[in-house]
Amino acid sequence: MRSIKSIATNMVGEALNRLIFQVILIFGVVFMVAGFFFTYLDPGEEGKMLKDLGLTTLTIFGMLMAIFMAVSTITPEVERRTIYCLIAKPVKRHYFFLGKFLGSVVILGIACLVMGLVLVLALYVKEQVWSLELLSAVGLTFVSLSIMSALVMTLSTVASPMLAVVGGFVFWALGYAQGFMHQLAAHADNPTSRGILESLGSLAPNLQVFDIRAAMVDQVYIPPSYYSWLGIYAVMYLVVVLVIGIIAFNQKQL
Amino acid sequence: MAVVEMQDLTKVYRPFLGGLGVLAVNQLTLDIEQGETFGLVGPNGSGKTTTIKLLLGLLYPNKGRCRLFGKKVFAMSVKERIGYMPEAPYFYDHLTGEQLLHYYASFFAMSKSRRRERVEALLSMVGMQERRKMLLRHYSRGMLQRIGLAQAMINDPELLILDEPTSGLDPIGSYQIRNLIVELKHLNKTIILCSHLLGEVETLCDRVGMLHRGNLLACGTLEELLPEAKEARVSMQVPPEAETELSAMGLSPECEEGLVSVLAPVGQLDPVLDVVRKCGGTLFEVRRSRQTLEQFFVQKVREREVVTP
Repeated sequence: MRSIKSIATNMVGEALNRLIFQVILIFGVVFMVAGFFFTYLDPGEEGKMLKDLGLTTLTIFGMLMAIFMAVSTITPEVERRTIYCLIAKPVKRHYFFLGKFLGSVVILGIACLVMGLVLVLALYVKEQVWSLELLSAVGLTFVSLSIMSALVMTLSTVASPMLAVVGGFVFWALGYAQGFMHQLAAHADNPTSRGILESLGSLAPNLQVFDIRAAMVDQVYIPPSYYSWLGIYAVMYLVVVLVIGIIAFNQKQL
Repeated sequence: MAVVEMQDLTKVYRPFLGGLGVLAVNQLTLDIEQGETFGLVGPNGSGKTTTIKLLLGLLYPNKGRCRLFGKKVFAMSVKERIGYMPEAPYFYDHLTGEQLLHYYASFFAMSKSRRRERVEALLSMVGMQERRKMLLRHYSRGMLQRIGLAQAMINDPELLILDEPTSGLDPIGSYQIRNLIVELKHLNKTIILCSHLLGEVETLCDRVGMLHRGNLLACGTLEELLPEAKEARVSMQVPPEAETELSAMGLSPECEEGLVSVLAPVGQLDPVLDVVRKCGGTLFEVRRSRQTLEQFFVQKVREREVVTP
């Protein structure tokens, strides 16, 4: 556990110093605040617009951050040979992998928290109401970003960084097109096509279920059980992906 | 007891999509004893770094086995006892030298006070106390090399693996690192020094293993590998009649700028010195030369290439 904590802490420090993290975060905040200046809509609609734009911005910029961060966890350590000194110390390979994942999760958490608070603050300025319920949407986005981070990290242990980035975007698209994939599969005449579509749909994480933007904008009540089921789904998916990633990383020739 | 044991160690790099692989290390069998300074030498691509990676558990062998302190190289108890300095080290450049050492120390079971003491001692040992607060991105190559050596020593290891520790350093930097290695040698550390600078290895190592295309060409102490020559060169200032006398002894004196030198068998040294004394000459030097490691290595490589073109 000591090793995991040290690796995660170092990764957070490194990421916070990295320009790409700062740029994505700044652009995310700028896009969020930009919604504040839409004043041509009806007064009630402005708040909805701001919520929708804010949560969409969080999802898109967060996902960019998750994918690029995950790709830059393992490969650069191998290319710069910094991993050699680490693995020569009493650090098990899976500690390294989990430390890097934990570091990514903390960074994504910081980014979500910053962007979420900016959104809540912008809404308060606009409507004089603290829309703290939005933080649940921010939380679910954070969970979906963590899943994507684990997935891309696992991909990057077996593929080149470029391939891992492409794979990350493909899984992201598939994750939001689960319903569409299953519909396509149901209408496919060819059993092979059906099989492929269903497999792809099942392999990719169901990111749609974490997307509660519409419910937030329309102020629809979400029962706590929904969050519980999502939590269980996220943990199970994460465990499977991380175990695959650890097995692949343990086999990797450094 | 052997600290390092390698038996039939073989590593082939295979391309991802199949095809012919590259044989990086071929059936390497080697033991390194406690307290030894062992030089692993060879040109670039000879398999030195691959051998080190196999010892550190960064690579998995295709065949054979390697053990450190009698245990598998992946054992955490083994890693507690080793230190590794990579070639041309690159570290996390958002950290300062001091932070880097604390970071690496955090992987060992050390109390905070012990860690602080250790970091202080190492910064002082490698002469980096004044630059301790400087970010690593501002370090020169020599400073990185020094901090690299310090991080390898953070756990006071029994076995130190140093990969090209002086490569890219200026003469003063190389000299300082060499002195540090000598100090470690005196502390009875087992050291594996991997280098293509044969002169450095000759100066520092007790035993040398020569790798070429993954094969161990030769292994032994410098005395075993480079036996002293059976002849010695005598340099002197003598009158011309002494040269005639030396020629009469079957030697071939050479005269250059008033200095006569002659290559004489060791058994004939006394008669040569008698000639110098008898004719009232001055003796400047008697040097019994031996082949350098570099000459030996080149000779071995040539022999090998003749056998296996």
